[in-house]
Amino acid sequence: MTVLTVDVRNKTYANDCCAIKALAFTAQPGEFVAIVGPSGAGKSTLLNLIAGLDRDMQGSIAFHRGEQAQSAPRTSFMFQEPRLMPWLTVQQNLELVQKAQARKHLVVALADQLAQVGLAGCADLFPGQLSGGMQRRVALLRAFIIEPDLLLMDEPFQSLDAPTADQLRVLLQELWQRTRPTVLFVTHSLREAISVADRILFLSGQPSRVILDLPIDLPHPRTIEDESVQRLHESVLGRHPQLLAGQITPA
Amino acid sequence: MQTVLKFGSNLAQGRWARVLPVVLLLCAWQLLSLVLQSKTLPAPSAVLSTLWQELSDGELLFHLGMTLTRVAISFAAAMLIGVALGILMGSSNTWDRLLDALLILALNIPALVTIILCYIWFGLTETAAVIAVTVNKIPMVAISLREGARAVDKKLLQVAQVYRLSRRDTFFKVYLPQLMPYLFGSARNGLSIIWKIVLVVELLGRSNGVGFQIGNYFHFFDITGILAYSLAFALVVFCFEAVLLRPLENHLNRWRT
Repeated sequence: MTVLTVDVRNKTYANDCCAIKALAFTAQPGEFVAIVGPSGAGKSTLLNLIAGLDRDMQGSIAFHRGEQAQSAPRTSFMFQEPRLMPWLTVQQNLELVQKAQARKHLVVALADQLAQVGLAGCADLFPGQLSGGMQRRVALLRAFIIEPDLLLMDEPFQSLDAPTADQLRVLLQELWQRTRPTVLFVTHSLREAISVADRILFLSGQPSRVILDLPIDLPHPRTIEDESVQRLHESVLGRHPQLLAGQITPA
Repeated sequence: MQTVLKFGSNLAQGRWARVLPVVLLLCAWQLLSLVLQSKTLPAPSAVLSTLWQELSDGELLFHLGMTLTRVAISFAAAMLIGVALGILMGSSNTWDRLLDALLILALNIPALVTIILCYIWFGLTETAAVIAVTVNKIPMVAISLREGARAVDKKLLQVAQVYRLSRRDTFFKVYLPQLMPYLFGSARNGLSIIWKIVLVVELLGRSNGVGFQIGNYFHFFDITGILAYSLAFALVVFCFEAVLLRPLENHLNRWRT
């Protein structure tokens, strides 16, 4: 299992605007970390850096397995939009990310996997024929089907209605408990973060850094409506009323 | 009145929608030729009978075959090179800047100049003919595909990068499908332009093909023959569109529902 060590000393945008400065944390194998911060805090930028989509920064992003340094581990990324290939069917979209040899012994299992995420009988449909919620399910399954070591999620359930987002968060926790990848889950909603994560990193506004590292000790699976989630949400905001604006000033 | 309109819209939706305008055009042509009674405007019936006669003595098939071979070779070559060039220029700013002036120049050189130069440099050969046509068409394909490559969705390419797709899968399953509308666009007008240029090439320096035949008929002022050969090629294009291009396009566009 892979330990992720992030140490971004300085990341500036093309317009010389300083996005991230001295942001560092370590994620343990199998840990579910939520990253919460105000809009424009460079959360997506951070995920892009970790995914290797953006390499323009000062600092380091390292992966270790035990003592050994590791090159980039198997990584999945669930974006704000489902980002499925519209010209490929659901099945072709999933097969696209699988390695050739994995594809062979999964031919039968693919139908089962679709059924498990509530997509039975959708294998031959195109993404355009699915609802927004179902497209997210396909994207979620695509993220898990390669059995990643690291799963990056960038506000993946944004713009869904509340019940659908709830269902998907429960599904996410089920899938995560099966293979236990390390998850970095970016969101601007503290409630959502508390309902899925083991640990929450709060970011400041630009240039962003970690201002609070909060462990969440609640049993999985949870939903946003759970009383324990609500209570924790209130107590955190009671202690730090400006937290979601990116400032930590004890009340 | 309403029933007539409804009849009209039913016609427009059915299979007849494609055929009806052509039939109307033929009727108008026939009428006009009856009224004018001029040697320079033969009736469609006369053209059809010439077409049939040329077809049955094999003359037309031979020349049409020669022309179609030239069209096919230059079309394939121009599409391949043009697509590669367009993708290169659309995805790399450096190449775009390096080649942009040349592309504009190539696009605006008259077809006739390229043809004459090719014949002078390479002789009155088959190779020279095909090169002349290909060189004329490449810049048009490149221009259109450059637009396509510029409009490619970077977000989907990020998906390909994160999930570490092979170069092959990235190209054929993520990149190329986004260029399909541009490919079909340049294939359609490519075909029409190439066939026109091929005729000029044949007229100037070949001893067979539809262009050569039309040149002959021109010398004898045989309008019926000219129209018969044009009609033959128009029929081939219709078949190509109906049998190959449209079904292929519909198949590739299944997902757009």
